[in-house]
Amino acid sequence: MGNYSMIGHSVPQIDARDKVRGMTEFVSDLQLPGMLYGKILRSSYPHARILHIDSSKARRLKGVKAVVTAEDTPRVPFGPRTEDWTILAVDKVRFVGDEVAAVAAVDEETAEEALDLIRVEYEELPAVFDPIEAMQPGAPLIHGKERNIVSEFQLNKGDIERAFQECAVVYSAHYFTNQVYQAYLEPMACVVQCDPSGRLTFYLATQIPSMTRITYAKALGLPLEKIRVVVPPYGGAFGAKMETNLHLAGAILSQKTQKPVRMVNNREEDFMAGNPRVPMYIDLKVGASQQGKLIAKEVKIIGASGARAVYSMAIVATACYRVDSLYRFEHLRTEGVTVYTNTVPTSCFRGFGNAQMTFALESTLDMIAEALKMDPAELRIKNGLKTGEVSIHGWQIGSSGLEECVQKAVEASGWKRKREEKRFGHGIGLACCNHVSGNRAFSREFDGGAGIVRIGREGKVLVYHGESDMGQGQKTVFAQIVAEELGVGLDRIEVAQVDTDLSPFGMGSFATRGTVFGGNGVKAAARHAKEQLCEIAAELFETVPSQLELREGKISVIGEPERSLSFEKVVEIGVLRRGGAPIVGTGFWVPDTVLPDPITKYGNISPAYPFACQIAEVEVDTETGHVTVLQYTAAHDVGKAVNPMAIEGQIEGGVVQGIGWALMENMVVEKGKVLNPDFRDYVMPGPLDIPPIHSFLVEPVDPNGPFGAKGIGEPALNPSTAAVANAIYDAIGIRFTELPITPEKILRALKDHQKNK
Amino acid sequence: MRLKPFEFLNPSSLEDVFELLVRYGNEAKCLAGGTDLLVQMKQRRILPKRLINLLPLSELKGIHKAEDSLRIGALTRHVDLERSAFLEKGWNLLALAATKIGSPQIRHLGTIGGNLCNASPSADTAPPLLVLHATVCLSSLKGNRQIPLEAFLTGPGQTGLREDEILKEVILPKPPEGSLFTYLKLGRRKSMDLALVSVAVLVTINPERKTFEQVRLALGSVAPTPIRARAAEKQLGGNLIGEEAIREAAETAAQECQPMTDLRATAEYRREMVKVLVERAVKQSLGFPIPPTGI
Ligand SMILES: Cc1cc2nc3c(=O)[nH]c(=O)nc-3n(C[C@H](O)[C@H](O)[C@H](O)COP(=O)(O)OP(=O)(O)OC[C@H]3O[C@@H](n4cnc5c(N)ncnc54)[C@H](O)[C@@H]3O)c2cc1C
Repeated sequence: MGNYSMIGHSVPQIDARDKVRGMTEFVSDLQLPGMLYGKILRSSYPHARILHIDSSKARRLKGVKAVVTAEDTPRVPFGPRTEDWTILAVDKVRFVGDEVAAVAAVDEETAEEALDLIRVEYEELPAVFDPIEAMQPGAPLIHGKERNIVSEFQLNKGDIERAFQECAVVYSAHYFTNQVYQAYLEPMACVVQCDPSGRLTFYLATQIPSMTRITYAKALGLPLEKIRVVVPPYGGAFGAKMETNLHLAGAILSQKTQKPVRMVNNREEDFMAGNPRVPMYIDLKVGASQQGKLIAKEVKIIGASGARAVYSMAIVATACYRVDSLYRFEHLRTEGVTVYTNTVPTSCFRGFGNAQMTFALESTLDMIAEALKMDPAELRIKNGLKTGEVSIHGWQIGSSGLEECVQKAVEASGWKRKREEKRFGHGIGLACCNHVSGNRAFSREFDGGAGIVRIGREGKVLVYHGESDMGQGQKTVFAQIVAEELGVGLDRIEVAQVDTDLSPFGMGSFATRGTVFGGNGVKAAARHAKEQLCEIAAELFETVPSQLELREGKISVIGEPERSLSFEKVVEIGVLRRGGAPIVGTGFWVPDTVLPDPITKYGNISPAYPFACQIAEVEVDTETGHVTVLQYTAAHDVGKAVNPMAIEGQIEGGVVQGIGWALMENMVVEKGKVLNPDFRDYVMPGPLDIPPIHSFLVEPVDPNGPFGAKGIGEPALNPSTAAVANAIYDAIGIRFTELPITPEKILRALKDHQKNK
Repeated sequence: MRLKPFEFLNPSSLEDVFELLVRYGNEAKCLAGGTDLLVQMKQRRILPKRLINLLPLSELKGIHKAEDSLRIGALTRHVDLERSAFLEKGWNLLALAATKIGSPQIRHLGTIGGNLCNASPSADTAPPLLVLHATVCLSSLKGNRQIPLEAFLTGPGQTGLREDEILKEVILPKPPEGSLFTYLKLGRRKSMDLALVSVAVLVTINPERKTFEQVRLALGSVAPTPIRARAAEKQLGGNLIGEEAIREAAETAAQECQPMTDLRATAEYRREMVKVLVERAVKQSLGFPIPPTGI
């Protein structure tokens, strides 16, 4: 294998030039003729009954075209998983930021002014913010259910009691992973246009165009064909941009006014009504043998879903059991509870629960390694799953570069020497992770990817897919894959924006699935187009298609370079001979993943499993408590790297996000209100807080990924918090189990530590 | 949030400005770089009906050197402070602080006048100006008056500026010969943050007797205004230079400030950090090695 013209080559993203020159039109830049601007009136109470809404004054304001409340919506409960949403609040509000009413006006200023004129009478209700309190009997009930429990997850294997008794070392700790915000560049946005037939076109920043369409059809009481979703370029998502009421409020306003309506969150709204990370309490107990064999794991997780479930229960489930396929645990006891609270609904954020659990597990493993007097790196290598193994949950590890990741990172970071040269305040820490490339447990209807390749008379190749490029570089990877198959340059390829009228039904971009699923889909489509081109050319050369090859923009008879025609020429002849029909290749790819068993959770959920090892080196200022990350090494098993430069970009981004989460990022919520809904006080790392990041790609060719590729999006961040926490432990001997590890916490802990000496 | 509508007034002379101020009183606000003002307007914390644009007024720009003083026009931007050749020797302390403000974009817009008139306890130009014994020149139809900066800063967001006045310039006397100085700022990250605690120090020493002569210390973000740490100054002035003495003075500074707890830090942490930063700042100004505060 190898010898590719495109695959494995570092190429700048095909849309990078336009983006850096400010030419790209993002969703919030879109302008349609006659367009109105929508704004949402949000609850300022965490829990309250709506007694009365008076919007008469707002309606009378000059420039206001519509004011809508729940009365103007179908009021059917809906939701991507549990049907606990309504487009606008019906009878009561459940979090500060809940959507109460919406306004469309000739400009944003007028719309905002109108919001101030809407009078809402509320009757405040007792509210509950912490999931542990919300679980208790007698807690204020947030939805009509008996308890505030969204869902419970249980999974037991082996004989946990006996196993712990037999372990030489057992370590248990209580961890807390806090609520953090995805902080994409462009706040949530949409433009919705209702045409005279009542059909709605949604221009959306969404990671899941086809799935969103299904959810929205239900919410609006419309048949699916009445909804079209188009995905223009948009400014990042990191998991947050799935369904959101913002889009649906836009739809209602557009239906009312028969005008296109643009809705864009301001940053404050995005903090208070976005989809931040599911905060989790994690009680984790792990036991190992004297030889460092991991044997038993017991975990209890309580996650706060906020006022709507969104995907939180799937995220808690993932936190509960995904790591069991990183190491060879034999005995498991697992309990996960997802609980409603009167806070902003929480949901997907890079890592999808695995990031939360990886913090807990990898912190714990360092304590076990210490108790065993074992090198933490060796502990990971010893227990890590290898190529060809089947995990306790039936995950078939088609390729695992975990061991090589650990070795690379250890070697490149100077791990051994730095662990030995102990100096108080200076430390180095390591953490590993696994992940999926697509998650069958999440894609319940079907698993797969599809593509369409359309080649017009001029020879331009237009690639359609149903996934979603939020800036991660998916388009470029698809272009590379198609260019490789067709033997043409990237300049021949255009990747169409997703449009549910034209594009395949794609599951979308989540679970680190884009490259493997979308990539395999467009690869199959390109293959199909290639077969047709070969048939056309075979006729011209009076040979058989199998004797032809597509390379360097030419179609030639293998071994006879003089018998060749340019790609464009063959396309032109083909299109003209076929009455003008473009060459259209369609293709799909379906992996042999299975839905996990509902009870045992057994079943191979992903076609390809990426792994990683990251190492952080830190200096702790023991007088101020500030942590400086000095160096960062990240070795990732990505299968065959389609675009190494893009992968390094993903790794760097993930590490930066992880360092931010580890050390400073935190949504401060008091009585349900976010106190820091802006970038002045929601601090994230700046350029000076980021160390040099040394990325290494480990490339076992995966049997299922396109050209052997696996995903990278989420694993880039998963191990970062634990790597930093472990480095801090190495530096000052204090184990932090709650994120973020702020200077004040460090200083306080140092003082307590000294006192106890 | 969007800006609420307001009237934009473009005066062509200082006299025009003064007249507009008299006419509109507290309905109008002066606009310099707008990096504080427009943010506050967007957040609806203030909603002036009119903005008086100061930017075209060349009288308020530039740094002028007289024989033994420096006059810095209110519209001088932080980036101008960073780059000015006039800010040498002790005056360089101000340039040093200017480099720690916000980001390059903010430093290209934000002005020294805006920083002082906004009167945030964390204003980064204030501690250096306090130890440089700055006075401010306030100007109105009635003429000019000069007051020490220390008297000008009266509380968070509050100054001695009358409704009809503007800040015209900042005047710095010559710093003592042989001034040693530094500015340390502790934030939650290494740039683009408001100070949790900041310390400006300016000292002179007697190298033969190994004593401090003059000692001036100012603290930011730990009181309703940036303040001088006078008790700590007194403790060091005239005394032998030594690590123990410095540590004790730092302790004193920590006692004499009045920090608050807010989202960014607790009062206890701030107080503790005054101690750490004062000690480090004094040592650094003397050329002693200190750990890289880095923030
Ligand atoms: C992202 C960001 C980061 C920042 N970081 C820092 C930082 O690190 N350190 C720091 O100290 N500040 C920081 N600031 C605050 C701000 O940039 C500074 O205070 C700046 O110096 C303000 O100057 P300006 O010219 O923009 O003032 P403006 O916003 O124009 O004015 C501020 C106030 O002063 C009044 N005013 C201005 N000039 C005069 C005058 N000549 N006479 C009378 N009244 C006047 C205005 O009416 C207004 O009330 C930051 C701001 C932002 C947005």
